[in-house]
Amino acid sequence: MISVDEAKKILEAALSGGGDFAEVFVEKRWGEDFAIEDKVLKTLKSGNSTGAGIRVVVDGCTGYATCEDLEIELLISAAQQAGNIAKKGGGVVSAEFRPVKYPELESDFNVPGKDKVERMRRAEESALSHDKIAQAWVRYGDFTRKFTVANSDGVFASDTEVYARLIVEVLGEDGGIRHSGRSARSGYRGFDMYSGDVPERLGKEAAEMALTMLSARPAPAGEMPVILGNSDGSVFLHEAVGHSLEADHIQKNNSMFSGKMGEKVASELVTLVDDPTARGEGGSIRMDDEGTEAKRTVLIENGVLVNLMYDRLTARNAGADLTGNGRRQSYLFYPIPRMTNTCLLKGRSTFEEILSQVKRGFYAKRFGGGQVSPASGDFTFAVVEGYYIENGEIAYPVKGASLIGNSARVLKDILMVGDDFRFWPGGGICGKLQNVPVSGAQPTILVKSMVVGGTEV
Amino acid sequence: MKDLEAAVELCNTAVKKGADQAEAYVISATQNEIRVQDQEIESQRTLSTRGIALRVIKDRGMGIATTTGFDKESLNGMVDSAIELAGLADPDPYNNFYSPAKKYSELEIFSPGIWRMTLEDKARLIADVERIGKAYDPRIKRTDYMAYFDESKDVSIANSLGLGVSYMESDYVALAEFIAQEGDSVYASMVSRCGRNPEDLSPEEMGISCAETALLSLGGKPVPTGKYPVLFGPEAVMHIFVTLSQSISGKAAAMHQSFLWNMEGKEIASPLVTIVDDGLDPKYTGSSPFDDEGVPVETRVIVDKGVLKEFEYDLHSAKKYGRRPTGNGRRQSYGEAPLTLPNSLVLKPGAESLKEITGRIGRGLYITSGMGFAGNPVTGDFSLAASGALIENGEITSPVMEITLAGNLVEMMKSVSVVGNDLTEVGGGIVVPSILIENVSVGGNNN
Repeated sequence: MISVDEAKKILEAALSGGGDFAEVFVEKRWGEDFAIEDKVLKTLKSGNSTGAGIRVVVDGCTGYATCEDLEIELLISAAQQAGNIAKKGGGVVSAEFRPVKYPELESDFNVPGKDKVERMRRAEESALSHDKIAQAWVRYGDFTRKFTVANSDGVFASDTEVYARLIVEVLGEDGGIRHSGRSARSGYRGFDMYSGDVPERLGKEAAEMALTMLSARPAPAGEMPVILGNSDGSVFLHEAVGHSLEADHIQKNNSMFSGKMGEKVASELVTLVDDPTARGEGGSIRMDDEGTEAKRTVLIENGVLVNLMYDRLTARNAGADLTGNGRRQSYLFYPIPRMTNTCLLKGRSTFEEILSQVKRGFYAKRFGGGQVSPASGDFTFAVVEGYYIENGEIAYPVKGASLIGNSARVLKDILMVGDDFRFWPGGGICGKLQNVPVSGAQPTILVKSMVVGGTEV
Repeated sequence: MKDLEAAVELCNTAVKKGADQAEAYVISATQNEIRVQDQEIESQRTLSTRGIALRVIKDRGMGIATTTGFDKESLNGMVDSAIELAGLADPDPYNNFYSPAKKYSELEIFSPGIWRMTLEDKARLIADVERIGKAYDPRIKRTDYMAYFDESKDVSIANSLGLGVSYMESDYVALAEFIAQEGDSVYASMVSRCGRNPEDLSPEEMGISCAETALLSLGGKPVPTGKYPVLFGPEAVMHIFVTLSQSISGKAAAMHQSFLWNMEGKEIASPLVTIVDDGLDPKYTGSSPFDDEGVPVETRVIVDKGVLKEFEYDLHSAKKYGRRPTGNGRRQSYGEAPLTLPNSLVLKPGAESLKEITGRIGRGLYITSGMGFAGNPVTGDFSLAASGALIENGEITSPVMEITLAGNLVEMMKSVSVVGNDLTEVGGGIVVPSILIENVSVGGNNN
């Protein structure tokens, strides 16, 4: 997209007024989005965008400017604009660049549109084949993203990413009662992600969730033991713990983990890892958006805080090794520390053993979304599929529940960790100021107690 | 080439290439973002963007293509893929574009002040919020996210039925997050303000409001689980209105995807509640002369003294369900297909101040912040993690944290007993005062 020589010229222009670091990021993206709504295939969309973002860092202060035309003169003028924050002397651009390129991908989205539609139709039919499923919506979206990043330290790296999501949503209706169900498969993987009976399984899963929840009773309110489900349940650790381990919050002294490196912050059963290397999952990247190779990073080991997730700027501030977590939504943003796949490693207990420990409690199987304040660790989650537990058995499904608590406390209150480690196939889009795809994995977890917010008081 | 001319030409090209109808939407924008930490600029980001979306109808199927490239090749490629996708889509007799008929309102929604101010002036505004907040009380220890954004944009829409319109708009958003600390207790408060012109922002008001919100909840504890009268501040009311804005879409109602689906003409709230989609009031950042399909925006009463009057419709749902389009076809960015969304959803204020309402409460809660995704638009189930303070005998007594408020939205709206006078645009086109709701289920501790 740009040559080494062009990158050098742009970086020199960016640092012409001074500065400690400069970077140019060039991106081309294209993809398709289709939706089936009420049996009608509509909203067929194809899109592409091209642009570059240039940043200059001076004394920890970042200047950033964008340009959507890749003419060298325009890129140089955007570089000068980004460099406006620097006020003294000239910065230095490395004399030597070491170009890095990743191997060709094994799969992509170069298939006819009608094949994508065929997978969507199969998922839809599978969902609607269930009694009491009144409507189904199926959305498919893919993108291919080619990007090159070069910086004044001599990095010049290029990669191509492919990512897709297939989402099935249904509405179950029984008498006057309505409830929705949802399932998804997403990942950094080409169209082969939807081979075999994947579409049928997605339709079935969404339908079953809605049917289960049709018989749900109002959620209890109050404090009680909570089981967090495996797989889809991993969004809990992403929100409640992961964000507080991103180095930007720590460095502003605004994380509940600030100043706790090397200390015990969780139950010994907890080993938490950021792992982009699992193939084809929702956070499985090969290179971050700063040209750093993505790699597995152990964050909490047997309860002890051992590492954080860094981008280039926060690693430089801390004198730490790069972890490959500098990610960005697109050329419109500069990178910040972000998770990839947030994984809690497996323990020894079986699901039945965990369930049998709970006399009266709540089983949160799937979440609708969550939010955390990294400073205090206070969190909240909406539970879209949850069950009331009585005497070591699942008693009945409950609706309208939320979970609130404090993550520092929850980490210490983890009493059991299951042996049923599984990835979250649906993944998600994390919206910490910018949207990037993420996923996670975990086994079933038992937490001593949390506040369940419901209407039954 | 000017955006509007480019849009018109693109529609002509699409029709020449075989589209039955075509519509082009172009948006050019300049955005600035400045973040401040400890009185120093932490980052400044300047974006210059231009995007174009083309929708075509061919044999009743619709195809959409988007691009950032304005060269001949990109534009021709876009026309070809939109027509190809229209061929793949199911024929849908309700696909349609707007045939210009009515006059558009003139709205003053562009403020040249946004151009006159330097980046330093804008950085000073948000730095002042930080300075004033920290000076307000020593327990305001740090700030986490102090950001100023502004945007000026040109929106143009043309279609092959003869539509060709454009407007200019500017707005700003300021965000402050303060961290209050005392002993082991930490509380982060977030306040946002928005408007048409950054000069309208008061750093004093914003800094003090964010500090007071943090101090109100700092050191808070859960209250016993039970039913309480709850005074929702505007930031907490926002969580109810976010769900409501998805539930007043006529399409969601027709598809039973809204808890209000069978409530048209019926009472869904207390008689004190009147909600207006005030999309022609230039003060509010959701307002504009026409929506993102070119349909004129109107001022429409959605809930009149508790009674749900009418749902909102974009072009497709209006035709499908035999209603008129209401000027609510909104694209969340140029790359997204239009959805039915309110423009400026306003809850009409009452007469009482916050202090007067507090004085009415024997034992209840004052909630200033909510967290998370509170409402389910399909079922109307509402559950919000919240913080604020306990009210006893008309006075605020102790901080409260880690509780949940839950209920069904219709029951909650029917239990509104007072609407406050403190109308605030809390962001995202939602403009609300404080409200008192009786008998809310609160999940807290078991004592």
